[in-house]
Amino acid sequence: MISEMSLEIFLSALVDGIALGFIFLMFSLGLSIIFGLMRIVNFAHGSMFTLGAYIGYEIASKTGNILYGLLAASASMALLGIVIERFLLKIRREPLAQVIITIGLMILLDRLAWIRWGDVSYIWYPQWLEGVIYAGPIIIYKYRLFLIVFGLFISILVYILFTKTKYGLFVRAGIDDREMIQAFGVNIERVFTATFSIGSMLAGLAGFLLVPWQGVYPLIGTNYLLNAFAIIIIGGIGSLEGTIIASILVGIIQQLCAYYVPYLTEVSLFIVMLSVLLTKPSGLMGKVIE
Amino acid sequence: MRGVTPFLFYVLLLAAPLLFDYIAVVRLVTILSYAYIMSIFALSFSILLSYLGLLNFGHALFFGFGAYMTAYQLLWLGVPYPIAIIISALIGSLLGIAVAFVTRKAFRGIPFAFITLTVQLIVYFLYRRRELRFISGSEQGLLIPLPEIFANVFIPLISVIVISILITECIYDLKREFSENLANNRSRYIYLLWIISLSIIYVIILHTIMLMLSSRSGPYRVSFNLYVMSLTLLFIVYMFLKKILNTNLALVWIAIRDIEVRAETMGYNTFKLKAYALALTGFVAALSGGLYIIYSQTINPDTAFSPLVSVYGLIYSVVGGLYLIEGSIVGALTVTIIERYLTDFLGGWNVVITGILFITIIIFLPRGVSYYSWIIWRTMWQKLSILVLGKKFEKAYAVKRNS
Repeated sequence: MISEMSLEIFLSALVDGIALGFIFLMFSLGLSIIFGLMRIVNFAHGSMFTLGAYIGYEIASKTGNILYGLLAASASMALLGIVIERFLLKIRREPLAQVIITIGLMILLDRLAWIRWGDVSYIWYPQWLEGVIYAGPIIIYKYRLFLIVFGLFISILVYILFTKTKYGLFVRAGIDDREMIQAFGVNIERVFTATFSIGSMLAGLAGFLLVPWQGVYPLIGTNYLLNAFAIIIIGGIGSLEGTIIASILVGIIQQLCAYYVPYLTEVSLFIVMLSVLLTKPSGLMGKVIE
Repeated sequence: MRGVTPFLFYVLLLAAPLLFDYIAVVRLVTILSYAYIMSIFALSFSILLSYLGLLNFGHALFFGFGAYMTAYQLLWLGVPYPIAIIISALIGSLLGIAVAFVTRKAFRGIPFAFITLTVQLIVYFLYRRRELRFISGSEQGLLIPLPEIFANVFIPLISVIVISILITECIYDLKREFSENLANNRSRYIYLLWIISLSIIYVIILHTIMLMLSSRSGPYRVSFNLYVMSLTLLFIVYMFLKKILNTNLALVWIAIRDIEVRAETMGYNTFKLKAYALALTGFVAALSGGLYIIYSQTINPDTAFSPLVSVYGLIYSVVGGLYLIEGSIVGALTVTIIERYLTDFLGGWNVVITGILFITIIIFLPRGVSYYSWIIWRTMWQKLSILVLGKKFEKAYAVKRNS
């Protein structure tokens, strides 16, 4: 009896962990594209998560349709990404200057969100995703199941976009040798702007998808940013497969810790990260980085 | 005269509280002492970044440990403050060596930044747990009693001792510089001018400090003591680091920063040299942490170990300008004063303006505030000396500029 109970708890923690892992996945895929591929240490990524969540919440709660919320969150963040990359990050190419610019943006956007929405935590549910499903002894929240399905869909889409299409080829080639790809007549600047915008879009999307589960408050994005950086380091910088594996792994580990050893919830991720870094500094799937 | 300019700045800043009294901005004393403490922190961060190319996102680890170690010694062991701060700085340098050993496998670039960040975050999240409240103080923090030394009337006299030492050194320097042509009439004139101005400065400072000692009392004296203490420590640390960066050690550091393999093939043990740098910066950062607890009177995990502390180290050193250690001091002063004053005027919007300021400074002043202010300073001195001493100096400056 007791073992059955603990198995139930374990399984529902596992499902929760996978769902959280897919949120992490969308968020850190965006960061992995920007930081891993384009080598921009983007501290503003967390703020885009927050802003996307807020904007999606506003639209979705007005219209009552989750689709409009998803569209609004992703479109607005994609636009913001284009603006940031075109008008701020292109001016100064040095990595340190870009770090400071994104830190400035992080501070600014977080505070703007705080001024507009205040300290209150907002939460909103779509009607048809409320409630739970009984799968034998396990109780699964409908929304978390939806998260898993949707996250799988998005991550496969992004993975195909960056590994199988011509656009992805341009991006990877441009990172290896910028001048060579320009000699082939590809406008690499535009490709990079599009890449940055896709990364920001994923952040906004992940932010909005977290609203029905954990709500949205001003510092949520910045809190999750540390997790995303950790995931990218664990998976290996510049490796999309590594990011996918690491985020699911981290989601599961964090949820299991939350169920069984709550005082290690936050630390568990960083202990994993430290042990990975100490044994293999380039991450699980990463190549050697300079 | 290399040592005169920082010395002049030190003296002017030391006399500044009197000026603040007259123009009624007493609060600036507190703000500036915070800025000096942060300058010490930024100095250590900037040296690691600009001389070794090591971006240390976990630099707050040293700061936080310095603060907490000092607090423990004050609270539990009753160690007198000056000894406590030195012991915690030594602990900080040991910690630096420990961090060097932990990051031994990936001692460069992004892996180093993230390993140190991870170590710091583990400490941060552990300290934030309520289970560890008795050592971390949790959200409320540990309250630190004010050490008796800060109520003492004679603290400002420390600065007088420092100044006397520096003036003697200055005079020796001058003597050496002018010893060849003291027979020359003009040289002797300039030499005398230097000596007279130095003694005038000395008298002014003595007078200021005596005035402070006699007329002030109560809480103001504490903040004034902290001002003098942090400024003097900043100056000592600055001179000490300047001395170290003039040795061959700094040259090897630069060689390691540029191409590590080359330095290794030349026979240098790069790991050992990097560990030295971490020990040095750990010492300095822990010192600033020890000073910080006197400023804030309390210490909690958020002010000690938060990732934002290291991020601010980065902001200070990049806004001020890398590769010049004065840059981090200028950066810390600029950012702190702007931030604190914006809070007064703008309320909630201050942070927005701060963010915009960082971005504009980086975009329009890419080499940092210190570089441009140095250029302004130099042209001002040239114009002034040409104005005062005549056309002869114009030629001298022209020659200097060409060479």
